[in-house]
Amino acid sequence: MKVAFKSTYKWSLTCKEVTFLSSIREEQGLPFWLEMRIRYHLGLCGPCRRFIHQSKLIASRMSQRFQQLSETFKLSDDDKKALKERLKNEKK
Amino acid sequence: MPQEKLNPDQWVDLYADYLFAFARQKVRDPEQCKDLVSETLLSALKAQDQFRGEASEKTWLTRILHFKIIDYYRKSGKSTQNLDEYLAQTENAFYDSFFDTSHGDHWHKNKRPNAQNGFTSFLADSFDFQEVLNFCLEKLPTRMRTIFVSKYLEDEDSEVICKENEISSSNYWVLIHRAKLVMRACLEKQWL
Repeated sequence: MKVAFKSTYKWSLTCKEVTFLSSIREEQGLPFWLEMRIRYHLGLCGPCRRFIHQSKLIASRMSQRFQQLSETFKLSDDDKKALKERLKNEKK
Repeated sequence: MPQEKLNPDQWVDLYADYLFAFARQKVRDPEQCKDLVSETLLSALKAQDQFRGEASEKTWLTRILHFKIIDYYRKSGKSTQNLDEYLAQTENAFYDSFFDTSHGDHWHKNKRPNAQNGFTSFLADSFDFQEVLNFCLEKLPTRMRTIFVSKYLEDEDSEVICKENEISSSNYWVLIHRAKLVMRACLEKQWL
């Protein structure tokens, strides 16, 4: 997939651009010069480095989430009974 | 030769909770989720002869539910309606709240991820994190949430997500960007 991206400046990227590009970079990498520009920015910008790091942590916490969800969100016995009833009727 | 066989009599006992939790990820309203689960099982019952045994029963049912959810959003007109327009209209207001758009789009002082706080370690290893995560996910606008959950929870490829949700890849990346910004900010606020 080609990256549709037009930056504000010739060389330096803004924080808005870097945080935007970071997701694409993670999934599919970036063209060489764009990668160089992002590295240059990240070398100087702590907040953007932290944003990327924290986003990765959030993503990894997300994948632990489903297991816990299945414990929290359950159908009640009554709901299940009704559901079984509906299926039975449909079968007839 | 089918390797897997269907046992509709056991569906409710075996999969109803799982399917409900799955729906609940993407659809906020619990009643709506119940409906989606029962619709899924009813459709599956009718489509039994299309089951080829290539995937497990559970996977097959999940797939059906998945498309029911997409259908639901399509009908409610929330998922694709004027997404371009919506993103364009909200662009300035949205980014203004994170970046100093009049001074080179760098982080606002009070919005930037700071070094001297325990937020990062909170993200990495707090125990009650899931509750906070659920809270913030519920607050995401529907479209952002669907895309964000698909990407990080089901770990799907962006091309697949775009196709299934009928959005362009550029809109997809904008939604991911915005969702990340909102989620991070919300989590940090909850942590404080």
